[in-house]
Amino acid sequence: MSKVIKTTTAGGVGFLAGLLLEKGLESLTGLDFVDGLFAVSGSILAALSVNRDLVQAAARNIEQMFGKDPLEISESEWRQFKEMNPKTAEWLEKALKI
Amino acid sequence: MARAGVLQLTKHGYMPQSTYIKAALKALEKDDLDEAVHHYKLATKRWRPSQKTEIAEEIISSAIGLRIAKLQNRLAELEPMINPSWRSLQYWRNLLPRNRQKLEELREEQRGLQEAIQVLSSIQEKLKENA
Repeated sequence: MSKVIKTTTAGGVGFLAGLLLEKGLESLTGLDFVDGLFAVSGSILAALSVNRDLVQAAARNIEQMFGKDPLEISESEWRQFKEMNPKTAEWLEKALKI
Repeated sequence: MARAGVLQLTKHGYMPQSTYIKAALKALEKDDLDEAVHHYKLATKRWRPSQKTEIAEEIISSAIGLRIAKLQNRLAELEPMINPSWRSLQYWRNLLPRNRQKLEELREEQRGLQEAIQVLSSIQEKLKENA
């Protein structure tokens, strides 16, 4: 987690973007949260039999909630999302191995 | 014949849950909340909800909640414009004949928002029934 915080602070990117970077995604340019998540966690997502539609719908809710791309949300915003959507957040966290 | 059979099975909730969840999320994407809830209900009509189904329920409910919150924010903005304190400038402005039309429009918007919130709340309740 401390590595993630370092990345987030140093790179000036959002919390989820930081996590994706930690998972080995070299550049987030041109990537959105859904593609990024699938790019770095494909096998985990497959194991969880994750449906792309669910990830997209969750990403849309994050966007609606905070008015910005899921990649740009801060850790506190993520916690807020998690409080309101515990099952969805836990499921995404499993995919991101948080 | 076979197609009609499949349609009947789909209509009565006999298909795998993922079929309905996919349809529910597609409907949600198109902002068709009634349809999304309808498909979610079919997913849980015959089967116990799976983890994915529970997550879909949470996502649909959250999407409805976000819409309600936006409408409530707008209502909160309108309230001081429609019912200002008599000590405020707005109160006296509202009494001017030239502002009556504007005030009436705001009241109309307020009624529309209240109705929309009621509709969304009933859809949300329907989603949570027997959940």
